[in-house]
Amino acid sequence: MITLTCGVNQLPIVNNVDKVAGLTVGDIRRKYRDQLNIPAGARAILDGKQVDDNAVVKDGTELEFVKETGEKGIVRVILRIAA
Amino acid sequence: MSTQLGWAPKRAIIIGLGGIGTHLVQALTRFLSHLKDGPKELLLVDGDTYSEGNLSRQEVLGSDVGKNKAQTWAQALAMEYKNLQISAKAMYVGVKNIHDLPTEDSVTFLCVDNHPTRKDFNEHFIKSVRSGSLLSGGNEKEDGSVIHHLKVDGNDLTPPIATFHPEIQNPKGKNPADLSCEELAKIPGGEQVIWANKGAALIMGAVFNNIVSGNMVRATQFGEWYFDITSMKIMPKVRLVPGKEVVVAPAAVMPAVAEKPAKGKKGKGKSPKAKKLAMSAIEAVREEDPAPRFSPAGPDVGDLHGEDVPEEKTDLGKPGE
Repeated sequence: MITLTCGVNQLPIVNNVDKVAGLTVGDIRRKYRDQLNIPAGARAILDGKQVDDNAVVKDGTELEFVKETGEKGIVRVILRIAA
Repeated sequence: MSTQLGWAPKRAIIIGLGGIGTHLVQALTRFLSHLKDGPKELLLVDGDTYSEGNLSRQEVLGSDVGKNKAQTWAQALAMEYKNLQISAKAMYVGVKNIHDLPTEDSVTFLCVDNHPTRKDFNEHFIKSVRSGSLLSGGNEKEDGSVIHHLKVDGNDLTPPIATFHPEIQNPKGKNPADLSCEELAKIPGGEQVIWANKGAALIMGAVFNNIVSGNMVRATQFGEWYFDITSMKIMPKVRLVPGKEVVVAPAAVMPAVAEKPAKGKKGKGKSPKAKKLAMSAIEAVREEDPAPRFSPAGPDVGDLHGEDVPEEKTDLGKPGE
């Protein structure tokens, strides 16, 4: 099994492992972007270790795309003020 | 080998008495007041005043509008909880005054709504705190997360809060402490609902409960929690300290995994076997110790839709898998 997660979303790959194992993190990011609601630029953690998009995902691993932590719209406002 | 954390906080600090902080402060104060052998000191910090706009989702009365948030709560709670030492600082926190806070040997609840302040605290804890806990909560309209950085005797037991969050490491905009009064006045509240604020406060309080338990596993097994009030999910995440892929907590109770790095090495380059043992140890500890109050959501495809989902759903329907 390969487990893909992003935020509270979790997708265990059970039957299609052979189609996912061997893909790179970048491949999976593109393939599951909508299903897992992966934000642009989200960092990838493979079995607890941060990896880049070239890392290859194997059977028995867990890949997480880190969701950003919440922020109350202040950035946009301050940027507007600064502008 | 001890399973004890080996550190106990002397005080709690809440930074920000807004959307999350107001929901945390009452329960935390009650908890501290009745906690045996726990910290009896609480410091509340906020430079803002309550406004009419806060009434929709913050624990504030109309009569408090116009008053400083930290001072309002400190005065009210000090009258009720005589056995606690409750104080307030009416200020925004930034690099200029962060060293004025007694963050050493404290659990700091960072209940702010902006990444620049989180960055300042992240760097302060990395550079200046030897033993302490930094709990950062944040939410959008209906979802959010809590991140926990725990240090004991200079060692990171969970990673600093910005480790996996570039949005905190490289924030856009300014810390409110660096804004003028005119700029601050122009900042509106974000679109949030009270239940998401309460969700973040609940998780922060529960993590604090794990910290004061003094149990190494309970305090360190997870480093981040996501939640979503629309799907009623809380998803805890194991966060390993970069360069130390063998987890500290399971090592404390599973000596076989507690490999001390050879002299001159700092735990880097662990073998896949050691890493696998560490991950197995996590599962073993979780089975032995039902401590996690928030279980992982488990195999679940939730609201996901796509080519893999129907087939995966079939497998996931089997109990025990």
